[in-house]
This record gives sequence, C-alpha cells and structure tokens, in this order.
Amino acid sequence: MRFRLGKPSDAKRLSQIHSKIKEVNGLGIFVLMGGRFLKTYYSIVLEDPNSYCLCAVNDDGLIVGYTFNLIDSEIHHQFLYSHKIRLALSAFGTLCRKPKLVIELYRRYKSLKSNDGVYAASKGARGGYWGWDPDYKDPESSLELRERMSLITDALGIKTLSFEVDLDNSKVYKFHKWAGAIEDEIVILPDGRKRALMHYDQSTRRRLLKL
Amino acid sequence: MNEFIDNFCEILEDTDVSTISSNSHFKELEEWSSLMALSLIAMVDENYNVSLSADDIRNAKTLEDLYNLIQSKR
Repeated sequence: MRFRLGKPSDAKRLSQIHSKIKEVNGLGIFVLMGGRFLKTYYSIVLEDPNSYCLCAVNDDGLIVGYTFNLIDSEIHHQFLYSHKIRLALSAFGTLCRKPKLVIELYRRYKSLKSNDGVYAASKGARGGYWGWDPDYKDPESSLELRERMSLITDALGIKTLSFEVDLDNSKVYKFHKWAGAIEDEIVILPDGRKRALMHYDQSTRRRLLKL
Repeated sequence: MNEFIDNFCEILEDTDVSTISSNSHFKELEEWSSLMALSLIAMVDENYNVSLSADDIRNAKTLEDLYNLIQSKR
C-alpha cells in the first residue's frame, strides 16, 4: 500500500468510495444527493487551499481509502458557499427525482451560509471524512492511513482538531472517547439524529498505531 | 487465553461467538473491518496495556498469535 496526497483529479474516485460506504452503513444526505453531487462536493473540497487529503493507493494504482481534514472550518464553509451554484447545479437532477430532499438541503444551505455550527464545527481545524472501499478489505492499512494523517496534522502545527460523530455510530463514538477525544456538546439534528461534537487535543490524543 | 477470547468476543457484533477459538483466523471473519480493528486496539490497550502496531495486526493470523504477541509485549 502506498500513501499520497489527494488532488482534485481524485474527486470521482473519492465520491465512489463514499457512496459505497454508505451503501453499507446507511444513508446520509450526501449519498442521497447522488454521485454527481458527491463528485462536485469532493472536487470543491480538494480544490480548497484549506483542506488536506491523504489517499491510500493499492498495487494497481487504485485509491482504496482516503481521509481529509480542514485547516479552518470557517474559511472552508465560505469556500463551499462561494461554489453554491456549482453545488446546486449538480444537485438539480436528484432534487427533481427526490423533491423531499430540498428541505434537508435547504437546512444545510442555511447552516453553511450562517456558519452556525449546527452540523459541524464552525471554526478551527476539523476532521472531514475517513473512507475505505468496503470491497477492498484491509483494515490494517485503513488504520495506518488514519495514523499517517494524524502525523500530517501534527506537522501542520494543528493543536486542536474538531469533529463530529453520530451517536448511532456507537463503536466509533466509543473509540474516540477511548482515544482521548473531548466531548464538547451533544446536539440533535433537524432530522432527529443525535450528534456528538468533539475535539482532539493533538498533544494528548492516544496514538492509534505505532508506525 | 480464555479471558482474551472472551474479551475479543465482546467486540463482535455479528459473529456467532461459539465459533470463536484460539485457532480462529480473526481477519477472515466477515465483520472484520477498520471499525473492528479500532475496537481491538482499544480493547488490547485497556485490558493488557499493550499498544499494537499495524504490522502486529498484519502478522497475526489467529487469536493465539495475537495473544502470544500481547504476552511478549507485556
């Protein structure tokens, strides 16, 4: 397994992996919005100078896992907002087929516009997503990817990394608590899900693996 | 060893624990995943005060391999 930084040209593959994971783990708004929207979203994330992404690439040169973080959530939200037309166009087809999604998407849009922190941390560095192709079983490399990303986070001088976990993901939530994450708040999302807003102090975070 | 197997079984969700023994190839379990590996690392650290490396997990095939590795690191 090789590791390399993600680039905008990786957006399609990252969106494919994201979709596959949700096929296994359940449905989030991003997946419900469809592949075109996801690809656009990842293109924007990877174009954002405030993001950094690490990819795991197998021997055939295929990305099988990735993780990205944001150096500054507020600036990232502004960046996303500045691409709202692009996102809206990519969402158009899905919204025509599934008009009920308009409500949830509009909530997200309002939250993004006001940077109110309803769905995720509104300022400072934030963990984005950690995804692994479910068809490519290699949990050891997946953990290695995550740990290497944490080393990059340290190298960038980031001291505190915020992130969010839905309480339904009880294993993930429990793991983060074990790893030293500090719980800031439990919020209830507009769709009723309970979400923990948490953060790591990078200096006290338990290392996942010895590399 | 039995205690280790019991601890391991506690992190399983979908596997019939009666099929788990010291010879079980844990990475061949259908539910073996990143999430389960996270739980395994946390369980080993909490119960045995041992930090596993990516290679430790890679090199272990059976639960007995893992148990022996943990004992050698204590």
